[in-house]
Amino acid sequence: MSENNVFKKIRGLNRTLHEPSRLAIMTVLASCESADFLFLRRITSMSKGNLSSHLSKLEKEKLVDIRKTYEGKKPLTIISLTNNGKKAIKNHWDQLEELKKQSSDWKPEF
Amino acid sequence: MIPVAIYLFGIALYRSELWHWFTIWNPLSTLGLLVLCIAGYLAIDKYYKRNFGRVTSKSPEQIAEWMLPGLLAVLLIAFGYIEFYAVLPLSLSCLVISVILFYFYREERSLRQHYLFWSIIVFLMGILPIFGLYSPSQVYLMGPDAQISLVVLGVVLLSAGLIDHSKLVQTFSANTETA
Repeated sequence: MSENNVFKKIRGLNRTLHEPSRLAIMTVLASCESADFLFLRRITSMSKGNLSSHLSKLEKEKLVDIRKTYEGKKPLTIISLTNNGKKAIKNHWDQLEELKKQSSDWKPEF
Repeated sequence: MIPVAIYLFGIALYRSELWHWFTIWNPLSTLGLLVLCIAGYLAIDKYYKRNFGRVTSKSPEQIAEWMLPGLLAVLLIAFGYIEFYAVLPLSLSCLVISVILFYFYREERSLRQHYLFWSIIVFLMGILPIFGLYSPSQVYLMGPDAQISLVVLGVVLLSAGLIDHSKLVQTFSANTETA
């Protein structure tokens, strides 16, 4: 009955991470040390408000760290993954790969 | 790449003695050219940060990003001297640049197909003297008659830089949410 578990596992995926916009943000951040708000906005093609709200959610879950500084007189927001975030996104992609493998091997048995 | 291209154009101008200011104020003008290129690099860097944001690579990649240009410069100068003093029938420095351009192509094939073309152009330029189509001193990086090669290298780097820029603009401006 392990096959059934595949679909249970898909339903049990972390919803905070699995939402497409947040998955994009987390995946970008996983491939670098840090990025600023503008870079994330440009690379994910998200609006300021949308990106801001997703970042707040990720920060609330302690998956990202948001540092607000200044460059000269201009505000600068630097975002990076927390250790929790690094583990979570790696685990999420590992899970997706594993689930893809398991689901493609699955055949209905009656 | 664009500041390096400007530097190569400047050196070509100096070698061809077309720019008298260069020949009169030789040490100062070459230093001035270097300062101009550094200023150009800083201006371009500021432009990209302002328009596309900033991203910091992971630590090992950061070290490589800082060390690689220095290593390549040392390598090119070394090969430039070797080919010049050993009077080789080809340009080692052109071959090194060709390999570097090919490496850029290999790293990101989907975005950098044009690097393969530039790599072949520079490679061909480097081996031209073997077929008697060019004298070696015209393709040595430090060669006294290398004006054309320097201009070709400058055009290659300038074109590669401009194509990269247009691809970056296309990638970043597609489907941006406006709300």
